[in-house]
Amino acid sequence: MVDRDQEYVEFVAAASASLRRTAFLVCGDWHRADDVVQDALCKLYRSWPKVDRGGNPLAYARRTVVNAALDSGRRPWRREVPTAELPADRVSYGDPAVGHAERDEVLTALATLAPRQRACVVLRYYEDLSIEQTAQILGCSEGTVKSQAARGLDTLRTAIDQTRRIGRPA
Amino acid sequence: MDDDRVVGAELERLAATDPLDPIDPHAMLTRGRRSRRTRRLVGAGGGVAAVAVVAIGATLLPNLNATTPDADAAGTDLSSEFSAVPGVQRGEAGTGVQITYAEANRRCALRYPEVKRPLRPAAKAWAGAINLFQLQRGDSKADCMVPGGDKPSAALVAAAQRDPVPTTQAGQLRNCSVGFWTDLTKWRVLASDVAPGSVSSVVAMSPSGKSVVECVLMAATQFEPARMFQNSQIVRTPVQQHTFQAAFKMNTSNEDGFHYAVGRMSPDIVRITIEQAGHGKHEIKVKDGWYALAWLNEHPSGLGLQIIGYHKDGSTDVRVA
Repeated sequence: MVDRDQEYVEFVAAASASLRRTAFLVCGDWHRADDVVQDALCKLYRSWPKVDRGGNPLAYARRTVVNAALDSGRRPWRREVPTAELPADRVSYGDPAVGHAERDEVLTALATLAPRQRACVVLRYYEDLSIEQTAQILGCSEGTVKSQAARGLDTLRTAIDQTRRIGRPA
Repeated sequence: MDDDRVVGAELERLAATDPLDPIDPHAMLTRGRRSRRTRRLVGAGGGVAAVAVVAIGATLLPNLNATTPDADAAGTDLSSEFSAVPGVQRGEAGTGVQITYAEANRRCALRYPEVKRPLRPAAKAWAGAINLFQLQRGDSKADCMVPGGDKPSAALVAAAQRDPVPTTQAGQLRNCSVGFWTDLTKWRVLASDVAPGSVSSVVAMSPSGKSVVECVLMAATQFEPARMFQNSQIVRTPVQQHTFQAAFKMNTSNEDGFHYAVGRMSPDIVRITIEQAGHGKHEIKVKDGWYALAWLNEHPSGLGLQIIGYHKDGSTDVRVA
């Protein structure tokens, strides 16, 4: 295996799981996230010689993945199976499944965000990227990132608080 | 700052629920190599074809338009090649409608007996659309095209397998019938297109005018067999009319440079071109808003791809991908 391919394999091994998690948070579906990441990695291979490996190939891959994940949700003629069905009855305090119930609520809240707002939140608070880096990936201004992330954060925080109030009596 | 940490932690927990197996880096390497090789071969093939066309001369030029499937070939009578599916109405009555989750499970179990899992729970399901089987760690991904009431014969399935990307409309309708388990062979083609050997798309209306099929057929790749694209569907009319921008915001391409789209947009648009800057270009006609696109871009760099919709009045919509 040539060095270039070896580097690519090592990059995929190191970054693919993280990229898929990011894609999932943006698009809300593990299957689509998997498809998006594999497509992005395939594109990356073709561009690998040109990618500045001394720089940050992860940034390139992340930008491709996030934008593809956003695009994957813009299919007006695709009838999706919902990715998260809320449980019919809420679990009670002390139930070992309480963690899953919380995740469902947060996932639902995440899904209610506008796609780019969701991407802002994921990049800022999950990927821990700076406002500048987030703006570069999404191709928007830093001001847009600030406002979108703040609104998204507010929505998610409200959902989390509500879940805790209902699921965990004081 | 506290909000940041709380939300970050919740996102971490969501992300930690990944049910899928890790992506195999060596498989990705193989796929990437194949993708690159395909592009090179296609590029070389295109060059050879161009030389051949020049050598043959202008008398054959009209035949170069053969990428538009033969309209006269549609409507072939293959109705004897379909049999009834228990509990499902024949023809368009058995598809394109919302059905219960239980009914979707029943139909999928009939069609895919080898998959021993139920569908992912959902409040709604449609016949004539893809649903996903439940997935647990270690399972392979499996989709179910919820079947209609016309099970194709083995001979018809074999014919579709032999010719997975047909160049005639009759062939497209035959293969889509096999994909949907719905006899579409007498449906009226509204638009169709084909990139020979790669991808084929068709949109057709039922004889009653109450249903429309949007179907994209793709050739086998190293990783997947020849198949009907997962967004293919049968829907009831009226079909939603998309704006030009919305139609091409959809994920209508893959990494190998295949572009495909079917549906309905503003009838003011009469033709669409798709072009990679400095490289290939493809044009389709739009009739009464119906469009079908199937194009293999020989230089899928992802940069400089431009799609233009031409209105009747000469104005244009432009989307740069």
